[in-house]
Amino acid sequence: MKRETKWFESDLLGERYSLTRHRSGLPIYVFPKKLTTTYALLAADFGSVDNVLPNGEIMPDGVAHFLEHKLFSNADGSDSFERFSAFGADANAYTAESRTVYLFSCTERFADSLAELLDFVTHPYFTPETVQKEQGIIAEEIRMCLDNPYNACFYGMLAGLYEKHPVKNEICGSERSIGEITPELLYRAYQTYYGLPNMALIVCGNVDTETVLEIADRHLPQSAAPYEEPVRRVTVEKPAAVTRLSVRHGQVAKPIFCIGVKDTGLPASPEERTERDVLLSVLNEMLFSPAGELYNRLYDANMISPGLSTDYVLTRDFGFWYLVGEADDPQAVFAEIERYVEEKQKTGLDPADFERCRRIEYAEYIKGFDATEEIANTLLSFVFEKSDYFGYADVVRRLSFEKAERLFRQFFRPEACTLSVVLPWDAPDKENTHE
Amino acid sequence: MHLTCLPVGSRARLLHLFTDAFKSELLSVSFLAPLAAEQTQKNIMLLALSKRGTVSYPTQALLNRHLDEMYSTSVSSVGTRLGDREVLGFSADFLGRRYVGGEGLLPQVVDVLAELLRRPYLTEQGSYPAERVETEKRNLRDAIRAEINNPRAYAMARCLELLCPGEPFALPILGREEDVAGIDPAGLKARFCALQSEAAPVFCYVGAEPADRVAAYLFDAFDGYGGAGTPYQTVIRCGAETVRKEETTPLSQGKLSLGFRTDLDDVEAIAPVLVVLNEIYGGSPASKLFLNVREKRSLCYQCSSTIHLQKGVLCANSGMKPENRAVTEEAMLEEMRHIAAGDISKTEWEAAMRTLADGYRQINDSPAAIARFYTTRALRGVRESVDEWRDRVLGVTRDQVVALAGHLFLRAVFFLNGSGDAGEDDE
Repeated sequence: MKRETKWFESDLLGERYSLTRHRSGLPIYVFPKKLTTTYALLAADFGSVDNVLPNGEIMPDGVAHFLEHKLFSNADGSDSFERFSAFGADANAYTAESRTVYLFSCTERFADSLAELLDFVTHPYFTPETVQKEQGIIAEEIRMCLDNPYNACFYGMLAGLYEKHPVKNEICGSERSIGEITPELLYRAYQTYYGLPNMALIVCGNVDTETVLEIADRHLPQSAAPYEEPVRRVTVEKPAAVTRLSVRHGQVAKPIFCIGVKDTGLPASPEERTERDVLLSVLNEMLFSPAGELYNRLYDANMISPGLSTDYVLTRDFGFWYLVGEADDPQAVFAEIERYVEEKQKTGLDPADFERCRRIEYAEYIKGFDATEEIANTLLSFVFEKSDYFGYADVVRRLSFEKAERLFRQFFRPEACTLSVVLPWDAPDKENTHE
Repeated sequence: MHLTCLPVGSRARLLHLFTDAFKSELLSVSFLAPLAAEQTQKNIMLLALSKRGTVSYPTQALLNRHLDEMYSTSVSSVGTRLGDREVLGFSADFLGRRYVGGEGLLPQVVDVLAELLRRPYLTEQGSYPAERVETEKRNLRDAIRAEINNPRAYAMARCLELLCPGEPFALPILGREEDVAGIDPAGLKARFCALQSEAAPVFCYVGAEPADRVAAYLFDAFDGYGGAGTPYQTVIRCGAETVRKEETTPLSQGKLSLGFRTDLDDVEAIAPVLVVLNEIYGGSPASKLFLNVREKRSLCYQCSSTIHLQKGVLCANSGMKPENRAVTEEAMLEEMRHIAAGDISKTEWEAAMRTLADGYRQINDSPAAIARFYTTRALRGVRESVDEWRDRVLGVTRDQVVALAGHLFLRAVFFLNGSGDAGEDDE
């Protein structure tokens, strides 16, 4: 059967990649790149927020992450990590809110490693004994996360933004929730979310499309199995944040804080989401970067430590912006940031600043094509978002200052903000933990 | 990738690595300084003050805006250890000429590095502004205290201090908190002047511009900068006893750090052997620590080892339930004893060698990794390519690894105990 391969090209970058839908149903992307390292990932559109089974049953927290750990164990008792090592490849995996990714990088024996990746991810094997053993390892990972003050601060922020949405729950789950995981549950989750049409294979490196497809032919089914797209639960959240302030204690020398803003204006189309993403990146640079007025005002007043960082996370069903920093008095910093935003919303932004920050977006986009790992993971984001990787440069070019100002005024609303703080163990709470 | 080494004036060198494989380029400047309590902290302060403003860009905001306008060029400061010396400098990452047009960004990047190293913003009286000094002292003090925010790194740092007592290497790179108060603008200016006349800079460029062009820009901007430089030094000492120390925090997990040293003092000869030994012991997910202590015995999630090659030091780390500390320590030591007894399977050996070979080949795919590899060798006075180093590592024999394991001795154990009081605080 002749297969159709579609090519995407960028004159600006001098790069191109192919998409072939394999007869098993798996979309396969190959991004040729003349570097020594070839990087491959096989990802499921299944993350920690996807917790519903087809019968409506809600799974305990941490199932996606648990599956990620367990898939490396094979029916013959072997561990895929060891097999990758035997080929000289560096393998790993990660689970995020909306995806699970299995990956390897290598400089030789690519075919062996790709075959292993396709084999182990498509052949689940769970027993009560291996699940129980993994519960011990993951419990230690959970404790490690529990001890991480930045992690605690981040999840404090999410809990401050979301009342019900599962994004507020730790990706690993809790010791209690993983205790509820059984082999049967893992198989059901796997059957629900690991259908090949719900996954993507992305390869970037010194490799051609035909080579990848030939390996896929040998290690994937020759026809698509019946598969129903998983039902995604839509969680309706109030537009306002749940709490204004939450305070915890942790292993920090000086208070750390995370300010969050809930995005309740999620665009329906991928194109609009991409534009919103770029606009928020530009606004982040304009308002909060070390080149900006606010950062330097706070820094010169000794209100913050160096290293204020911001990010915006946007998926098809949740979006939030956050800012992380360290300060003696996080509440004073929060108040100062709110004052500054309010002031700017009244007086308006500077078009020259906008152009400077648009240039940053353009440069960072181009720099993102220097490493096979970065290319593959960024492409995956665009694939799962059903958006155009090479179209990003055009989106940056077409951005308008007026749109940026409009979004700035709509997005940063006081009622959508929350502040999460982690204080040193011995620091007294300044106020109640929850307002 | 071809390395060209050129002089830049009489005191500096340029390592030029031609490649057109990347869209971005890298230019770094590094030099050695003594690791000494009275100087190291001031050196770190000087790097921070340079980024607060220069003669042409007097404020942090103006400097950062200028970098943004240079297509988001990023400049990071370098302050780290190499053997018993400190490495100082800056590294700039910027878009290549084909994406910015004209002469490209290289001349501007060279100017920025010269501004940072040679022309810090000073008052009319020629000293560092007092309020900036106070802010950076405060930031330094906070950074020293914040080490405990990362319990694993904290445990490892304390272990290294126990492992190398009295050696410059054991000095915290940020210095000691009690010394911060004594820093003043005059002392910083004196230290700045000393570096101007003592440093022997090594520039490293990774990109597509020709070597003579890069060297010419650097010569113009750095003519007269520097001096004879600080010679590279490393102390290899094994000690005779195992020192143990424990601290307690309210964390739920304990962090154990085991420090090993060797009594073999030819560090250049044993370096490749130590690399292979570490790979087998705890350097990868196919290592003995990962597969046996984590996967088979489920004692911990994180269990691995790292090496400080120039000191002949290996450090093994894990995080576990505090009550499992003793059994975990014994399990980690048992794996080292297995190596010393020659218990290295064919699978383990081949996996380690293949993974190492793969890792060295990957260096050529990252401008930062390329620059780091060649710069550290140049600072040590060693001329060696990635391929030559890889061949040395891949030429190591099993007997050499077994023999070295017999000469690695546990000399420090640091345990950051978790009392478990953290609980679900404030929930």
